[in-house]
Amino acid sequence: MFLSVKGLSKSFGDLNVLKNIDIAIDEGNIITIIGPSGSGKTTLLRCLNGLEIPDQGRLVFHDGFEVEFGQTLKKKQLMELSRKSGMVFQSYNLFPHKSALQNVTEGPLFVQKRNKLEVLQLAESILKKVGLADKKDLYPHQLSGGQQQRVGIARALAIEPELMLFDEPTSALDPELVGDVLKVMKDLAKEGWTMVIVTHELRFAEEVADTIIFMDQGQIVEQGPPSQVLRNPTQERTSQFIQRVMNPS
Amino acid sequence: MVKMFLNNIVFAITANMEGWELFQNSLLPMIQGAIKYTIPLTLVSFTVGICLALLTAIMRLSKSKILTAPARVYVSAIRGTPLLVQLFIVFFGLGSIGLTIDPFPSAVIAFSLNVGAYGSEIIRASISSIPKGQWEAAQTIGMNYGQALRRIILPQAARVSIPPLSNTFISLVKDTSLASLILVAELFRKAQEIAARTYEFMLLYVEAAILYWIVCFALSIVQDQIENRLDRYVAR
Repeated sequence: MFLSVKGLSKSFGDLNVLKNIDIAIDEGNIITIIGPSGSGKTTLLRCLNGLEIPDQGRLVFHDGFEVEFGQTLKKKQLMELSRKSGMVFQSYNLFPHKSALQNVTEGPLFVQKRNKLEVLQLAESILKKVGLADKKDLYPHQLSGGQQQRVGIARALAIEPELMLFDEPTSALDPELVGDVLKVMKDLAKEGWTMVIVTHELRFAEEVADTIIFMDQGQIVEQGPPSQVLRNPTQERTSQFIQRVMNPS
Repeated sequence: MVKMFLNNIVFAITANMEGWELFQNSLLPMIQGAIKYTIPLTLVSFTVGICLALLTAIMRLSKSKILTAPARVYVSAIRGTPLLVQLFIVFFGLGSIGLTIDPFPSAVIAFSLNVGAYGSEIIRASISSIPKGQWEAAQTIGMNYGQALRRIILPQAARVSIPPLSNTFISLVKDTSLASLILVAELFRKAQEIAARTYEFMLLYVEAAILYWIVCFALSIVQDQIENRLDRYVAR
């Protein structure tokens, strides 16, 4: 098993956002998390790399690295946790004062202190992979939303993480730009990346996911392969949600 | 009223040749005062002040009370008391209890503390204005607090803080005239000395005002250029 999530709980004040979540992720698995807004799916994703600190629970990685929440955590432990995964944000969060290339090289060059030539080669090959080789010297504001998000993916890939996390990566995009971003993600899936994706794109989820997790009110209501969760849901709440997303009007 | 006022100035400056000569003769000592004292005092105080401001801003943004409390007291004390009083405490006050500091360093201390307090609020606000997502993105590529601050947040905050910090800087240029009261031989003190000798108060103080204006005008051009440079990366 690549990562096992055990008993994750988190509340903001009185609101229990995550209630005792268990997930098992195998190496090379693609997990998509779906659910209505406020269901806790983004919070769950953010707990996986320490952007959000759960009140309770445990993360156990394949290499024996383990984080037990609910007690005081060492800074070093949190740094190691965030180094495990690359994160792609809904609102891209690119560094506006840096070019596309600089956004991508920032992590490996200045944080990981790797060799400059090597990093430049890596960055250019990643930008090529996301289809932006010719845009490397442009600044974020000169790029379209879809291009910015692909730089965001490239930036996350550049730190060479073991796990890729996507937080609604296409939700802020114009519909005609969604395809480019999804295509890049499909390519990554084919390359064998382990990915956790929070998304509203059910068709995409059906195509790439090994496991779909449906969350509601801080709990996992149902999880399984797309054929089960999307086509033959066992829970009433799941089928209602899927109906609403598939036929909005 | 305004016309009379202007007439008086024109008269004082041009109506008699003596006035014109005095204007010319006093120009050199005043410019010397500016170059030897006003400008160095401004530059040194601003540089030290900005370092203090950055430190104070970071302390105030920290989660630890041990850091935020002294920063709060410092900012409150400096903003709550007149600059002239601060200047007198450093020079005459400390001098009277045996800690004599020369006029110029006294002025540097008082002005730096002042810039530090006002600047810290500006820097704190501009750091806070950077979206939380930038901190998070920095964290996800492995940066710690210091790295994120230095490489991601401050470069963006700098752009936001340039206009208000320029204001502080221009105010500082003019505030240095207060140093004349603790015997720093800067621009305005030169004007006072010559005026005391010649009784040409109008002429000399207007002349001093024009010199301050020229310096501040030049600074505002520099400010525009810095802003343009930092705006290169940002969509309008």
